[in-house]
Amino acid sequence: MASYYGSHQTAAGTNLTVVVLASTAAVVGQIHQLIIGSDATPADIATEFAVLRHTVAAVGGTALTEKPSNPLRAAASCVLTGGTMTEPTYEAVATEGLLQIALNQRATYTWIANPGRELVTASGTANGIGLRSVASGGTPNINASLAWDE
Amino acid sequence: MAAHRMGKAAGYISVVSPDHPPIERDTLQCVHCGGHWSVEPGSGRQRGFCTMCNGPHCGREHCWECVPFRKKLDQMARRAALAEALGLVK
Repeated sequence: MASYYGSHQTAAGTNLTVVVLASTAAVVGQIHQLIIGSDATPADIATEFAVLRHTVAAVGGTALTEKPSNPLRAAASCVLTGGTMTEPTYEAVATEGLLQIALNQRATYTWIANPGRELVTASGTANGIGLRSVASGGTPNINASLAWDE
Repeated sequence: MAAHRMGKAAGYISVVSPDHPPIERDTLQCVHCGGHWSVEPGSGRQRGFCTMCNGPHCGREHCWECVPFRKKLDQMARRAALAEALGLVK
């Protein structure tokens, strides 16, 4: 099992995907770390994020280059995507959200799963897990980093 | 530092801000949906415990029925494979 890291930044907004990790038919991702912060000028802006499973893959977006924690490892099989895209079809935030995060823009949020308690994607290219900006009082730049095993 | 820590936690969150001391919370993981939540004593949120899965669940409506999240992942994988076989996804 290898561990990979990826990051992306985008402006916060309403129902915007920041970064999404999609499975392949044979490989699933196990997300074990998430960091959310902002490099924008500090301001009191309420933001809300959710980590959600999706059942229909995103269309478009920018394929992000992940980095293995061990440089000798091969490239990741799961696909990390960010940027402007047609969002994947997510499960509902209220009933299925894996993490719900309400955050002041000034703050930096870190979540770490204990071994064996990762957020696991289902196999299949339609399946994955995304970090979504659900609501925001402004459009500050949001920086997100994700770490996963596969 | 404001911290709520517990035994057998499934995860950990920290929030660092210039406006207040660092906040630390342990998280538990729902045995049915796989989601994490931070433990907030006195929050009033009703959680549950599944005696078949031998673990806590998040208390959301659909999680009161026992469907282990590994089984849910299998169901999602089967649906994706079927959709792919039928040509419903690219």
